[in-house]
Order: sequence, then C-alpha cells, then structure tokens
Amino acid sequence: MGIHAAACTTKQWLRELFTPPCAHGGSACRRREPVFDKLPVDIIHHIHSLLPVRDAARAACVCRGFLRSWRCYTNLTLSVETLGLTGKKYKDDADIFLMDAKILINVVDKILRNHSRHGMEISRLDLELYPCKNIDASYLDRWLQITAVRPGIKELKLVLCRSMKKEYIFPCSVLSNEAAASSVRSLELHACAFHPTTTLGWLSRLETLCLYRVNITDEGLGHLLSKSFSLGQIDIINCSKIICLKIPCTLQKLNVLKVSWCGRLQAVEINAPNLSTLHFIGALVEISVADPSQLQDVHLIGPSHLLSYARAKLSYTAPNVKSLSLISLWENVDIPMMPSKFPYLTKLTIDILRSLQGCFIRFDVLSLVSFLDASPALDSFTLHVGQDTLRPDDSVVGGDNANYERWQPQCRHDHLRQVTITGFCSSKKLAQFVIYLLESSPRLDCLTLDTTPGPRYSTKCGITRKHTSSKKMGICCPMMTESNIAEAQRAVEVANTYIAGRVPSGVGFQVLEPCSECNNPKRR
Amino acid sequence: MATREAGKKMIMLKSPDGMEFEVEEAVAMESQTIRKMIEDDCADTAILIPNINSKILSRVIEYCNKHVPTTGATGAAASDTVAPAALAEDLKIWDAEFIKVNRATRFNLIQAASYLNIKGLLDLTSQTTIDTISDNSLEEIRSFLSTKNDYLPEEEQTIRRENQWAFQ
Repeated sequence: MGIHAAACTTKQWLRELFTPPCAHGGSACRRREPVFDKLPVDIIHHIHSLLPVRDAARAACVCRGFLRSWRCYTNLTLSVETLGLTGKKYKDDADIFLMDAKILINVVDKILRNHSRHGMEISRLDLELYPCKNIDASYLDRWLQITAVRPGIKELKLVLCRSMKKEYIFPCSVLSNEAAASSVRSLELHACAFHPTTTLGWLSRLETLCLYRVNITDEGLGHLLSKSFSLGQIDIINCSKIICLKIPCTLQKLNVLKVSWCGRLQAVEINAPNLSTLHFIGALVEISVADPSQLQDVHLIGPSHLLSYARAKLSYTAPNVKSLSLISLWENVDIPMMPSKFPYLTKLTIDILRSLQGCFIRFDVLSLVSFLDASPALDSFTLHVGQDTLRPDDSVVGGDNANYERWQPQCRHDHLRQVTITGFCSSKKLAQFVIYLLESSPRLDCLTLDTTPGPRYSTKCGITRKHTSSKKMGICCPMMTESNIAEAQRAVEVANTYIAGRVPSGVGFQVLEPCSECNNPKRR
Repeated sequence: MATREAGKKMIMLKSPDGMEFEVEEAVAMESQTIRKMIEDDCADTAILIPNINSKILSRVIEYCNKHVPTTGATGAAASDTVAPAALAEDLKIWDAEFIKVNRATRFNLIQAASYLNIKGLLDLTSQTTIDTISDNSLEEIRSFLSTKNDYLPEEEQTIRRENQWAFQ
C-alpha cells in the first residue's frame, strides 16, 4: 500500500513536471514546444543508451529520433532483469529454474536477429542466461557466430547456468576471425567449456579476461594467453581443470592477477615482468614469480596456516611488497620469528577469522609481532579479529604480566603511525599485543580499538555517530548479537582499564563501541 | 596557474545575457570543459559560457558548489564524524531536491551539463529523463517529453511488430 502510494505520487509529480504550465488552457498559452526534440542528437543518443534494453526498444516506437538511437544501441545487456521478465512470470531463482526458459531464449533470439538484420554493430554483448538450464547449443552458437562476435565487438560476457543439462562448449571459431578477435577488449565466460587451440586469432587488444567455472585446461589457457599479449588483468575463479597456472613472460602489460578457489591447482608460475597486484584465494600452493620487482600489492585469503606461510614465503615471492593483506580463515599455528624481511612494506592488514562455528582457533596473537619485526618501513597496521574467534579462556584480563614479559619490546617500529584493531575483544593476549605496540612504536599517531566488526564485515554497519551525551563515538551495527554486544562492552572496559593509561599524550586514542541503539536490549 | 595551490583562486564566469558569476576555481573545475580552459591558461579574465543563460548557469554553479569534493583540513575533520556513506546519502537527497524543476529547465540543464562536461550533472539529469520513460505507455512518454509521433501508420506498425517483445 505504502509503496503503491509512493509510486502514485512520483507519477503525479512527474506528470506535473512534464506538463507545460499552459496545458490547462488560457489565452496567454504558448503552443507546446517539443523541447526534447531540440536537444542535440548526441545527447538524445546518450540518454537512450542509458535505458535498459526493454525500455530502449519501447522508446524506439515513440518517435524517429529514438529509432535512430535504437539503431545504434550497441551495448546489449540481455538478462531477465533488463528484458523486464522479473516479477512477472518469474518470482525468484527457484521459479526461474522450474519454468520453461523459452521466453528468455526467444526474446534474446529476436533481439539479436533484429540487430543482425539491420546490420547493427554490437560493441558490448552481455548475455546473462543463468536461469536457463537447457539451451540448445545451436542457438548460442548462432548468437555468437552470426550476430555478436564480429569486428567491432569490444566486450563479450557469457553467463550460463552452473547446472546446464549439457555443458556448452564456447565456439573458439568465433575468435579465429582475426578482425573480430583483434577488436575484443574484454572477455568474460561463466560456466562453459573453452578449449582454445593454435587456430585462435590474435586477441591483440584483449585487456581483461575473466573465467568463472570454466572448463579449461592448462594447455587451452596456454594457447589463449599466448595470443593475448595486451592483457592487463586476469581473473580466474573456480576453474577446476587448471593444475599449473603459467603466466607467460609475453604478457608485458599484465598488472593484476586474481586466482580464486581453483580446487585442483598445484602451482602458479608467474613470468610476466610487470605484475603489480596479486590476489590469491584458496588452498595454498607454490607461487613463483620470476621477476617480482614490480609486485607491490599482495592479497591472500587462505583456509589454514596462511599467516605462517606468508611470513615464510612472501619475503622471497614478493620482496618489494608495499601493501599486504592477509585473511586467514583458520589459523592454528603460531608465526615463528624469522630473519627474512619485507623492507618496503608500509601497509599491512591481517584478518583472523574462523571457518567453523563453535570452534575457537588456537593461535597466539602475540606471534603477529613476527610480521611487525620483519617490516621496518611499516606505516599502517590493521588487525581484524572475527567475532568469537579467540578462545574465551584467553579472555579476562588480570594483573598477571608473566606472558607479557616475553614481549618486552625487542625491536622498535620506528615508522608505525597508524594502528587499527577491529573486532577488539577482551582477550588478554590481544591487550598485551596492543600494549606492546604502544611501547615499541615511538612515532605512533593514532590507535583505534574498534569493538564492533567494523565496516568491512558488516555492510549495514559503519555509520559513525557522535553521541551527544558523551564524547564517545558509536557505531551502528545491527548484525551484532546480544553476546557480541556484551563482549564489546567487556572489551571497552579492558581498553579503558589496561590500555588508555599507557597511551602517550601525543597519540590519538579512540575506542569505538556499538552505538547506544545497538546497546539497548529493548531494541530487539 | 601559480596561485593554484592557494586553493581559493576565483574565476569569473559570464553568461551570454551579461550576468557575471564569481566562483572558486575548484568549483568551476567540476566542469571538465572549464578545467581544460583553465589548464590551457585561457582563463585570465572572465570565461564566456555561450548558450547557457544566467538562470541555468546559476543552477549549474549551485550544483558544482555542492559537489566539489571537500579536501584539506576541513575535509579531514568532517570525515571523522560523518562516514563517507552518510555524505553520499546526503548528496543523493540534495540531488533529488535539486532536480525537481520543470521540463524546460531540466532539458536546458542537460544541455549545459553536456556542453560543460559535468558528468555527475549529466548523469543526474539524464537519469531523471530515463525514469519518465521506464514503464510508461508510448503516449505517456510522448506527453512527458512533449514530442510528437512522427511515424507514418505503416511505419509505426512495422517498428511495433519488430519490438513486440518489449510490450509483453
């Protein structure tokens, strides 16, 4: 009801807006001037090009001006959403799979035939066919071969259903045409097989490549990469046929490589000389970088022992790394102290999470000092501790300094200026770690202890409000449970009792807590 | 260009109907067209903005004033208390109010945004036009845009048949 009313008002408002003041008569009334028609053609094209494909096709029936725009509507995103098939016959994903997907297929077929008949160029084709479990390969072949992949195509994205009845094999022949191959700038394939051979044309302008759940072998990928020397970014996700990922040295422009969840991957060999960013997600494998001089940004997410692995190997794999982000999903091994260094590392982010509910990790937070010790240039350090990750028996802070003695500052972190800990809890070792940082970082500017999961882990979180009553900051965090909030309150107490007093006067010290809204039990 | 780092250099913008507007350089440079003129050192005295009358130009300046990124000391202080998300939300609400203008003004704003190359304003004004096209009947769209059906009957039939799927 409320939504309907709102929609009516908007419509009324639009009507008023677009009805000239003279529409209701009056002698002084000028004739209706077709203002829109007076806009320059390129602006009309621009506005039309922003319309989703269904509205764009309807608009073509309004007047010749829009028909001209429709004839150069080159960016086709064909999906259930843009074709207006949502909310009518399909309610949600489950229904989509149950329904006969013929409607979607028919509409796509009509549009592409129409484009082809009028000789319209397609510069971007985004075929989102994930609701269709069963598409005849001959349709897909025709769409790609005859209509879409022709000279002029810049971006091609094909998204098929993960559980297709019969795996679709992407027709490499469409990329054998040199003119078409050389115009493609971006290629993204989901859930199909792709078997490039030597007959592949030169993909001389291909800048970004994304393969998601694609059945491609080491050999096939090798052929593809050997023809794509302009690649700047490669994204490989969930491609389980890849065993050894080899990035050839011919990829001189390759900047970014992202490899995620490739189940059977055993090794990554990077020979591209200018790689600056590496993201790797999944079970740890041997990663070798022939020339790591440009590699400055490394992001790893791993299921187990990621931190000790990174500490031991990365100083050789990426000795020039400047920014390092590590997300450990299950850390049960303490990080050993080692002589190797990260001489250029300025920004370090470590997230300690747990992948199993109800289990706490056996990890000594104090062993993180190994990273700090190895990073003499470190400027900013961010640590995130997941909710309920550290054992409760590790909690409770007492006056006992026995453990802390081990960590009397042995080294100084002369450049460290910013320390942020999100998910700060009442763990004793975490408190000791913070105290250690305070005492060994003479140039510290700012220490933030955030007792909420922080903005990265809760999309609805992170609206910071300054409380009027106290000067404390509060963070809205609707996803925290009652016990999380109780723990956050204990953590605030720990910060105030054991840490606040040790903060030197020049250091900006902030304890962030859930805002009073979240703290209020009546809210639930 | 020597005074650019002072951050408060003023620029004079002139509309064809003779009005002059003194604006901060940073605000004027929200327009890529003006930015280019300034960077090419063509902006020593007043910049004449052709085809945009003073009424529209003043609205454009109002938009740029609101959207110029806050930097420097004040910007840092502001971000301590207001999260970027909240700022963006605030701008959105402001934009929605800003664009509540009559049709002629809005088409003039589109033209101005296009000429002055102000992406945010072009997006905003175009999007508002698009919203009037989506989900309306052809007659409604024609009346909203105040444009005429210039097809011959048989032409219209052909084009309707071609795009029948979009009306189902």
